[in-house]
Amino acid sequence: MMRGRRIRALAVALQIIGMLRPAGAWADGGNALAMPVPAVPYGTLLEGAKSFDGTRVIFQGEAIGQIMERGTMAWVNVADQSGAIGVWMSTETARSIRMLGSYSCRGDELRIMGTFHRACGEHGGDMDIHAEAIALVQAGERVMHPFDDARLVTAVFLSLAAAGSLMLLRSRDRRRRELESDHSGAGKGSPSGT
Amino acid sequence: MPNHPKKEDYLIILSYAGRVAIGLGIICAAPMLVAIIEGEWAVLVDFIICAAACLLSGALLAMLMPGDARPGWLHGMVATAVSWLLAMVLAAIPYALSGHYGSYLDCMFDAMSGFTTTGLTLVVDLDHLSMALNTWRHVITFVGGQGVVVLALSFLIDGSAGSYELYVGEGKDERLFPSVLHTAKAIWKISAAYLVCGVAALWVTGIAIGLPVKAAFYHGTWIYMAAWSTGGFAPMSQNFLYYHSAAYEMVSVVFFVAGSLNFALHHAVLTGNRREMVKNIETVSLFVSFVILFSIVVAGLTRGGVYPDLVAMMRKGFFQVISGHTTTGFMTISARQFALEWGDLALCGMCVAMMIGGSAGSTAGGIKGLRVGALLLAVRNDGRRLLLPSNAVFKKKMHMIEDRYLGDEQVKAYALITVLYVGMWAVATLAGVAAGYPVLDSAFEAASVSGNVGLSIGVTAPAMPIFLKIVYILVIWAGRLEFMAVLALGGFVAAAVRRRR
Repeated sequence: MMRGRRIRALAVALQIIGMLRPAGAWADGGNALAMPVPAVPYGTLLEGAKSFDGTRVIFQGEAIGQIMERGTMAWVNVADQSGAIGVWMSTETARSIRMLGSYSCRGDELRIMGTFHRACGEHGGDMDIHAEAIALVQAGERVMHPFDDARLVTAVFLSLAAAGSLMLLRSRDRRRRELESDHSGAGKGSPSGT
Repeated sequence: MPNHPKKEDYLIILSYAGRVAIGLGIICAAPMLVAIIEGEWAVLVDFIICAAACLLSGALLAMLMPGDARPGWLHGMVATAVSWLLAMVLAAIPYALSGHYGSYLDCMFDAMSGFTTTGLTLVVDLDHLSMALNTWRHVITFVGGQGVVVLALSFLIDGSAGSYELYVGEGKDERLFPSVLHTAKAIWKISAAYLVCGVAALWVTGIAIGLPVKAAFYHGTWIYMAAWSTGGFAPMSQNFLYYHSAAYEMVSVVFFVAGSLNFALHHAVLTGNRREMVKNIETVSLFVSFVILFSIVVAGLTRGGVYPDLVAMMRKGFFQVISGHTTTGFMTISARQFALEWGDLALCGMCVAMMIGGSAGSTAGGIKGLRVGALLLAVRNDGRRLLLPSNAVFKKKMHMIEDRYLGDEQVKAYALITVLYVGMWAVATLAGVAAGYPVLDSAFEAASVSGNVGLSIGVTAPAMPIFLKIVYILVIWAGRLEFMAVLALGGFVAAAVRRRR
């Protein structure tokens, strides 16, 4: 309850200082993005979704995964420290994103101004942000994953030991099968079953 | 096996577990192949370590089999329970080496969650996981769905004595063929046939919704593996919300509903007996329970005014209910939205859906439609017995591939498992409450772990208390094996302890 009240208070405060405004009231998206106003974290949006619903917000995070183009518009999922949210933007804007976060890349850090929807009527009830302006905060980069020598040595030794033990098991299994066939042969009065 | 376990009993059990470990080592080939294709060389080394550890420990344990061993019922049961624990420890190795987990316990949690097709995860920064490790998560889910022991039975144990006990111990008691070995292989054939169709369908849909061709293939393969196994793992942290697509959701629904149906039913339908779909007690009971529970959830969502229009409500409500009822666990909403927005009535409907689960002899978890259907039939039969004259005779049967007698012993067995499931859910709920979570949140998460579902209300997270992680691991393990193997292991340990005293 206390947390919910705090989030509502934060939403009201952000509206007063001009960070959140009802949809359609923002005159200059580009300038607004350049303003030193803090972005709303995903966790705060989620916990206070009812308060933020339909308002303009600034969200900042890393573009992750893939760009999914749907005609003239596209989905880009953007993640901050507390979670990821789908951002609906023009395909042209989406194509300006150079790097998307994955194992081998840190994606472009984007600052997005747009309308937050708790359950978007246009998109089947998805929680999303319809972007109006996007700015690149920091370009993404490739992430190197160098070898760990100790792990390489461990892998080699373990592999050799595994190969040896498997060969040993195979010969034991073969001996066991031969013994079993000898026994079953003996049961049937086979000459080998002495 | 005698009342007091002897050295030979331990050796037989460990030997079987060793064969399962070898099987696990072999399936490491899948992520290793992906690591080579994607040039993830550091990850490849991690998987070589895992594969070698599995093969080495497996071979050493398998060699313990005594020459004159006569494996019995209890050996098979205990070996199944032990095999799953061993598989959990070994499969956690690549997780631990990835650096995406807070502790080895978290890694084991995810491994057990994968094998049991639960789908809850404690991974940190999933969006930057390597392709190979994502493949591993989904491969172990796929293998776990068919059964870890079924895999070993099919390819490694070679139909030896005790194989039926291993098979039953894994919560499967339907035989498609008289031979358990043939049944195990048929399960893999059915799964492989659906694999081709499923990956193709999701790949094409993925491209249609805007994913690049290669990414659409990987996502399609992973999502198919999780869907068919009623798993619930997804490659991105937003789970199914990542795709923002009703088409992708619907295609996946087809495959996870198929995965939640009995392998015997698939076999019957694929061999021409299509009427079985509408006659089978499980399909009937699951359809009826789905309609009732979906109506309850929709009533709850309508009352709370959660969604702006009917389309959004039906899409979100339908996907979450069908995902929960089939014990898949894919989500198109954030975990916290359940707690913050859905309301008590909808959450209660979800809890019941998750507890009932899918079909017996499928990849799904939960109490199972068969037991629920049979118990309701038994209630109806008892009602008729009260209303009819004492000398009246009526048929006590149910249809499951063939007409079967529904005797008191059978009903008692179904009721016992149901009571155990409900009891386990109560314990898991209590554990959640003891850890400081609200009652409804704890009950929801407990229903999810008890039924091997994977939907989360936000309780399952890396920061949750260690004791709750351990409780959840035990619950998903016992739930997946449907208690028998776990009770057998408990009895075995108790007997061993008594002997020492």
